[in-house]
Amino acid sequence: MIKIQNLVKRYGELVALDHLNLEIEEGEIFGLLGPNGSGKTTAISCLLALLKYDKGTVEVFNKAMMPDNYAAKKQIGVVLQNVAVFEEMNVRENIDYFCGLYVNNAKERKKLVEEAIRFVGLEDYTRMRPKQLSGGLLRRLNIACGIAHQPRLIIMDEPTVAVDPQSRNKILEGIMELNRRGATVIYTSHYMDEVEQICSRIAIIDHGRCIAQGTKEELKSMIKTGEKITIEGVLLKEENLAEIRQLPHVFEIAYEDQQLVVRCSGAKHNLVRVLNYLQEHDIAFGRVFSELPTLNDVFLEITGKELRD
Amino acid sequence: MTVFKGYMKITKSLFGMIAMYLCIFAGVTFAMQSVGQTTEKSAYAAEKLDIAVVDSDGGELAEGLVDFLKENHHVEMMKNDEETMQEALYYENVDLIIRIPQNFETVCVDGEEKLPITKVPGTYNAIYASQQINTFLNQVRTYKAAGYLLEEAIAKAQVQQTSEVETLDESGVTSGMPSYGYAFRYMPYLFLTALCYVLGLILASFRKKDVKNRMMASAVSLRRQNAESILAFLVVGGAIWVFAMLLTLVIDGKAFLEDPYKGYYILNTLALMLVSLAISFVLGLLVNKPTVVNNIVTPLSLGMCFLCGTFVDISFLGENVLKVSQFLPVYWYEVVNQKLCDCVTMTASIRMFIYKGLGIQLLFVAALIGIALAVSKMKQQEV
Repeated sequence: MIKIQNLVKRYGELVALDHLNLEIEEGEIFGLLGPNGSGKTTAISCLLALLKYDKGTVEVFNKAMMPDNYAAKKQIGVVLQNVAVFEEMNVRENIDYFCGLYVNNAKERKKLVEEAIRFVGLEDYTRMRPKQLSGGLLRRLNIACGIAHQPRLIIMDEPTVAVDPQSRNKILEGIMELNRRGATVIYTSHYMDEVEQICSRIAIIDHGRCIAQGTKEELKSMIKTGEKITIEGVLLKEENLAEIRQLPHVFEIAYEDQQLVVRCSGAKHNLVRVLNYLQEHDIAFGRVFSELPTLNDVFLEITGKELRD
Repeated sequence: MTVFKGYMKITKSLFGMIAMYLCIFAGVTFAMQSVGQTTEKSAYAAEKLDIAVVDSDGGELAEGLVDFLKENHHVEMMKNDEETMQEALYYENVDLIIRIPQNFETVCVDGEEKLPITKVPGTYNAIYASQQINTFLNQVRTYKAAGYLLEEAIAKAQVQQTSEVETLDESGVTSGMPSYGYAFRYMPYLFLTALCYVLGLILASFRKKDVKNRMMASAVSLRRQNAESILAFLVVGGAIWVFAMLLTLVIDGKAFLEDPYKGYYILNTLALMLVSLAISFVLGLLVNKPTVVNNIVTPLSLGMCFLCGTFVDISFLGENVLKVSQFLPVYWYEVVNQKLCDCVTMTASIRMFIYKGLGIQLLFVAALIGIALAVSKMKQQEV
């Protein structure tokens, strides 16, 4: 459905997109994950032909995406990072206006607007102006304006920034519902939990490059870490640490302030082996956690830095 | 027509502010028109001089002359005292002193001797009075020669012939401004404030980065968006123009409709409307925060109106101010308006002057559109 090949975008000396390659299939919720400034929004702008790029090709619905490709634009819904609505219009007027940019028939549009209002749960706020809405409701209005015309492809650029958890969940549920109804969604975020929760495939971007791409399972399998074991309140000597490091599948340990963090590759019984060692050596310990790798671990292992950095 | 309707919806939401500007304009126009009309009412009236008469004769002819003079001037009788007479002239209590000699009839009518007149040195008023006195005495002389008695001759000479006179002013200018002229004079203030404010705010809304991106990503072509925006601009500008013209008709519709040059007034206001639209368009492209629009529009409109003769008559503006004003479009609107207000006969040179003023305003429009296109292009590259 979407093919981005060798996309390069420079702002003077700064390379915002560095030979970016992406392929998105119909029916997916495709996540673009990356820290702030990694090039997600630039990639979206190039995809929508809002921005001229220096090199590469962008194809949408199997046709080159150009500023005048209105046939393709008609099938795309856009939910931008900042709330893009008119302060002078109320909720219904805003949705009607942006839907009107795609649907000319007034009757059909009215139906679509009502559906969008219901979908985002703004039935009680239709006569309110944007400045009268809370941050969460404003985000929902922003989404309604982008999806009212029921597009085939929805591009959402960080739609949950500065949103309370309740509204965030509502928005994420809504995105999954849109996908169930047949829309392909491109979802950019720097919140790995969101991307992990809703996306069927994910591309991790850093410095304008796609550093990994696949399902979340595929991404996690790309890295060494299969399990991260954290043990609190444990007193260890150097020799203990050396012996734990020698346990099967353990590839990295860290010990600080009586807290031991053991990283193991994706094998079974790692936790049992570590706890057995501590019992055999009569070493007391406090709380124990075992975590499967997250996308942050993927990012950390590939780039050497935390995603949130 | 979604974009056009969007403009109209936002305009509707700004209706209160538009109404306020329309009320201010109407109020200022009515106030200035009423003040202007009371101070500028003018009529032709014969000059009345302060004349002192020293009557050494006291006869019938002398009395007849004094009565004749009283009909045309302020006359006071004075004693035949050199000192009193000199004092009256020195302090300019009187413009001239007429000394009627003894045997007035014999000396001045039969003998054709001139009546002695003493005037304030360096003034010319005495010529006017002495001409009237000579006319009176000549008529008495003529009637007497024709056989009339002195009493009859005096009575006939006192009757002044009058006739209606129509003035033909070859300069083509009048001395006063027609009542509707005030509405036209203050129109730049209405157009600049209302249009720049309203359209500036609307454009600021449309040019918010994310709204603009959403519009650019939509299925409506950029060309169509621009066309609908221009249409909306013309409709808003047209509505305010219609209001201004209706106000002109309310002030003195009959006089305006009878004005043979009303077409030029209308053309001038249309040119001004285009100038105001172009200014508001550039402003809207440069500014995308409503508070900044407010901060720019007020000094811009007031400044231009003060510098270009809207609030202060052009004739009161200094030479240096006028040098600057000529680079502002409102100045050319005001000079054309002034010319039309003063015009009685449309000569070729006046017509040429008006076309020049209109042309310069249109050149300003073209230049502003050029700037707008350049700014638009620059902003597009910023995305």
